[in-house]
Amino acid sequence: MNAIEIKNLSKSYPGFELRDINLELPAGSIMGLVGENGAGKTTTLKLIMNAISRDSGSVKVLGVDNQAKEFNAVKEDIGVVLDEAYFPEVLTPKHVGKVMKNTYRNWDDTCYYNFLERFKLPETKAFKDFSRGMKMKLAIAVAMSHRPKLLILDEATSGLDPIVRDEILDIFNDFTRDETHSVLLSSHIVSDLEKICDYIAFIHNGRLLFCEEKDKLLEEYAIVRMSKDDFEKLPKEAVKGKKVNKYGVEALVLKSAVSRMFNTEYTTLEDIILFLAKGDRKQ
Amino acid sequence: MKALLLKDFYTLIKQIKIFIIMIIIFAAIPGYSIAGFAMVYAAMLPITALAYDERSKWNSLALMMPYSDESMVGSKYVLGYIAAATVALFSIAVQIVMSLIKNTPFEMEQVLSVILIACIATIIQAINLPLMFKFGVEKGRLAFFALIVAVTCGVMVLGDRFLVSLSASYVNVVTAFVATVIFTLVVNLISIAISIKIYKKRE
Repeated sequence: MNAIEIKNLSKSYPGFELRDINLELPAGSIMGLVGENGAGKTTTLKLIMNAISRDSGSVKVLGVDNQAKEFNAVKEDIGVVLDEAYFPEVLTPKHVGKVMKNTYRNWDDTCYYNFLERFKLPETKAFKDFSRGMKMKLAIAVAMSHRPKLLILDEATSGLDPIVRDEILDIFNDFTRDETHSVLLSSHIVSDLEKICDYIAFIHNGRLLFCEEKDKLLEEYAIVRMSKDDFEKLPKEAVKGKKVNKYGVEALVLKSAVSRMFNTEYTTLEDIILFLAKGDRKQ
Repeated sequence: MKALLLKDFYTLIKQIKIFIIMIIIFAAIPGYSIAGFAMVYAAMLPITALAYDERSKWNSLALMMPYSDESMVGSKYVLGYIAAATVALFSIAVQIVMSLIKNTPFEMEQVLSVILIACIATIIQAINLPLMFKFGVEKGRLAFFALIVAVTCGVMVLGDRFLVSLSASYVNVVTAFVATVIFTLVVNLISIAISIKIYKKRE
């Protein structure tokens, strides 16, 4: 079963358009949504939760159309962390816990207080005095404490230090040990995504450039470094992006379309995304 | 709904403390205009709650949670009703205590008057909240002040004559009272329906 199924999803605003997004997140896996600021990541996540209404296409979450009446019940099974915590700032973690206990039927107080302890969050301190890291930890504690089946995380790790980020990524990783649990996370920290994701979806200027298994992507693409003359010998359809400087050419190529005579190097997710986003660059 | 009310309660806890002190003082002072002032303050609590929501962008998170549009809107109305009912009960209780202390007879008319003021407060809220949901608290507040001025002027011009004619006959009082209560209910139901419609159309 797919945790999320998006078909031909479109939404337009003045000056911005998200067009024909097709995406499937199989249950039990982690998908990373990459893209630069303003590419349409948050819009996509909002459309998935039906927080904004789509212009066309269809979205199914945990098997239910998100515009159906039953979707409100499905939200019980979805934990969401946005780029900020967005709780009224005079609340304390204790207040937040009491409010959430009355919000989610499956709320688990013990789990919540364990997270507060684990994250070293003071129970009775007003939320406005928290650092960004503490605020995000509180939001994550809330998202994890109502036994969700799907986590949707919008830039949940940005602005956190590497140690905390690592700790949080571990939590998400543990979460998907259960085969019915899935995670969709957007981030522009590609190294985080490379660390934990099974699938990578790349949104660029409101279009989905690809949605693939991470390992397959790393196998499919390679980097070549060569002189301009040698570069001319490469089949054009193999080149997906290139960087030209006075010493030669560095290019992202499709491995299958390049003869073995050329020396290819392993690529990283970051390279793939940079080359695809920027296309041809001259230096 | 309970969760949202609880959230507003925690958010407004400071305001509520001041509010309770205010209504105790105001309720003790004879005269309905002051009870009326406390009522208006009560009707403003949902707006203060909305302002806090806006400042923390609570809505963007709430939309991700299993709250229905109806309870997002309805909780703000209920908050206002609870506040108005609290003021009304306090005023009546204080008036009963006062008449016991002064050893004067307690008149039913006093209760009716308090309920009438509560009706006016909820009508103000009913006109106010759709504006807030539509324009946001900042712009909505301007509309609110314009409304208060209009209502105050209206009450000053018409209110006295209304009360004089009310006290002329008992039957009139009852009829006017029932009519006002029904009118208040209708206005509130229409207002809630409009607010939900506005809220559903949000982007």
